[in-house]
Amino acid sequence: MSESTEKKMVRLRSSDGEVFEVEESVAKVAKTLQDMLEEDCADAVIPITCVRAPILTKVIDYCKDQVMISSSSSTTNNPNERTEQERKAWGQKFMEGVDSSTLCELLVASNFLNIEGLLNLGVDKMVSMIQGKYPQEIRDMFNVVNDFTPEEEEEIRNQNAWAFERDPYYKKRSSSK
Amino acid sequence: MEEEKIAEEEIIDDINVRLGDEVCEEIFSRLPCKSRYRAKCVSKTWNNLISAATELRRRRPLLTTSGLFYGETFVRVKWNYASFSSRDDGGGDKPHQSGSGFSLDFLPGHKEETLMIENTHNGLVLCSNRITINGPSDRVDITHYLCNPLTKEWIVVDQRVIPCNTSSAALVFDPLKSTFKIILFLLISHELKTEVLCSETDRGKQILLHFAAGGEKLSLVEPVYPPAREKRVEGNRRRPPFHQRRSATPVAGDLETGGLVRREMGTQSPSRNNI
Repeated sequence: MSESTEKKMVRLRSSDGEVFEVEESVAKVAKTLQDMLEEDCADAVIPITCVRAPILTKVIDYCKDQVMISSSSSTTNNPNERTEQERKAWGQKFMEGVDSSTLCELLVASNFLNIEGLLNLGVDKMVSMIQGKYPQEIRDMFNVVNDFTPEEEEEIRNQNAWAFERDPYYKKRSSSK
Repeated sequence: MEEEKIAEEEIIDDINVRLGDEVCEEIFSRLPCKSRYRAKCVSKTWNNLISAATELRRRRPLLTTSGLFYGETFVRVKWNYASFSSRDDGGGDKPHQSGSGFSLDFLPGHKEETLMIENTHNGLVLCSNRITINGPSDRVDITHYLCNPLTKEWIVVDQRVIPCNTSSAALVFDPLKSTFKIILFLLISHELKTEVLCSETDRGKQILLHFAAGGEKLSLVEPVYPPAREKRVEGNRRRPPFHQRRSATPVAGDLETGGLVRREMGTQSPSRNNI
């Protein structure tokens, strides 16, 4: 962080051709980019082929925030700049309003760029979206095609009957279908 | 631009492929148990991925629920469950709602309030049910149950009569082998005895408890005693045969046949590799 006074800029190009210019410190939050930059094998513009511009914007927002935390904590000598709770709240806010397809893209991006914190946030968000849902709701959410035959589905459902029991809605729904 | 649209549709169509196995595993292994097993019904791919994630999860310490059972009194206990997190919402019911938590009401002795929780580990609960036998010397008929409150599966691990109420038990998880050991501490005539019920020691019972994070069954491997050990069994009814039972389908008459099988196995040269 000491060399950030110079503010070297890095250019990133999204899959749809948009070029983003960010500070090197911001780009380095992504481990993949960090490796590239440190080994000096980065071109003038780094192509990030699997990430679209709106997603990359979001990713860069995240990275900027991470840089902000770490730099402010190093200057004020306060390593616990953000408490656990604040971090959670921030993460929730960051992921607010993200729909399932955006979330998938975010996960792919953070996996590819190797940003652990963002990946964690994404996975948690995904878990909160799936949890408590019924198979049909999940299918609707992710547009998954049900390739089970009714018998097969019934079998799996029976095997795990305990997961469906104690459920006031389950019977209602399955009978209404 | 054309590509973009195709890409977008692909994401929606098979998120599993798009996200990669690693991310999917992470997602599924973080899902609370009930939701995870529900999600198995979504599609074949989901079913496979979740099975894989569950397998992976079994190698780590399992956390199927976080909460605690608490009793209202000390002598006769009615066990209630308090959940710590909204993740234990039972998959869909509202958290902290009455009836959405876990209960031990499927175990014998719960209603009579003679049930004690001895130990819990990795989602399994070891309970004991003590029934005092009135007579000249106070004796206690003690039965240990191992149960999974989530799936309501339970087995009888051990049943014996001990002089008085001086025993306790511990449940230990072996993360390398994914098996459990149960250690019984018995104070019999001022002498502390320990017995280990587990899968690999040659003394004690052989129990292999493949813990079920859900769908799999608790299994109890038939005990194999080396012939020499058999003589050591004391005159009193020390080791009544234990039998395997599940809450849904109690097997009648298992007690007797279980005993016969056990004795037969004791005289034959036992093979311990069937685990």
